[in-house]
Amino acid sequence: MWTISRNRPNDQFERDLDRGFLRSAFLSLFWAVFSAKKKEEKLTLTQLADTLGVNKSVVSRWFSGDPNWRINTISDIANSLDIEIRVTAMDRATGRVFTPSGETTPIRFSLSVIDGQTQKDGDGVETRTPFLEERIVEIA
Amino acid sequence: MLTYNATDRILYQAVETGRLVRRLPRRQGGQELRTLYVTPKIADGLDGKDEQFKYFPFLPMENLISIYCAGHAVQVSLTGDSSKKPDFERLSGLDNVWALCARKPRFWQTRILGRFLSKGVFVGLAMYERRWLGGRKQYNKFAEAIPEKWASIFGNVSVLNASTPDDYFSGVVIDVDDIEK
Repeated sequence: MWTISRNRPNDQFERDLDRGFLRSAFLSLFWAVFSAKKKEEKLTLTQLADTLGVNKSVVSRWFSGDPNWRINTISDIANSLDIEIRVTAMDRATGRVFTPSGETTPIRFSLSVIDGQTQKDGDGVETRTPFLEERIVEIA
Repeated sequence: MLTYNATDRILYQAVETGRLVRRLPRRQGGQELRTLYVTPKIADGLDGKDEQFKYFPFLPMENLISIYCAGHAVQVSLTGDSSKKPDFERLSGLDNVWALCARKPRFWQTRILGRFLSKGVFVGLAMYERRWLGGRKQYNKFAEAIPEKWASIFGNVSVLNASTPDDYFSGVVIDVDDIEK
């Protein structure tokens, strides 16, 4: 529960912001999947509710509000929509990415870039001198 | 590849001349599909620098801004049906004036009134506590001033006028006028 405060944002404010953002991420994710299946497979909220074993008004209320689902409910909705949820986490400070199996190891490879410098000689004729630049690229 | 279009130029000028400020979300979620521009006065209000908005920074508003900018699902009503409590409401009887609605807690509800310059680009032009706006008639009087505020910033630049929520919002949208009950 957040509180009104005249103070600057504090830890509680930041925590509540994270909570709201994560709740909205799941709501948005499920609505995006439902919308696609509604369009392509004519899925309805009634069918989704039936699969979940809840009343349609409950599902309708979820998508008209800001539900704070339990993890089991998230799993059940994902199951009903026939999707697999994959979880990743990124360290805000370092950008390191983690999955439930551990930290992902970035793939490192070098990339050679061909570039060149253009010069004009005394007659105004342009010559291009190519050179190679090697860069290390990381892909998580 | 970077693209540079008319909308970018108009916004660049408005920001360069101090008429608008780009409001960055406090949470980004890896991408920013939509953008929010506000007047400097609104920006001060959001940051708690305006005595009128004593309880700001305001969590429900910051949360809504983060959700909007990230492209997460926003609840939208094109018919201006506030009974469905949308996050974004196109006010009926007005020329594409929208209200961005932070609805909780009830007594501290806040509205940012503004218009869309292009898809996913909302420009907030005035911010009010909901209780200041009073009943619908008085609310609309405040909202009627928005096109003039728009003109003072953008001149005769057209406002986005579209027929579906997806025309206004990139990312995920819940059309509350159309949701199954």
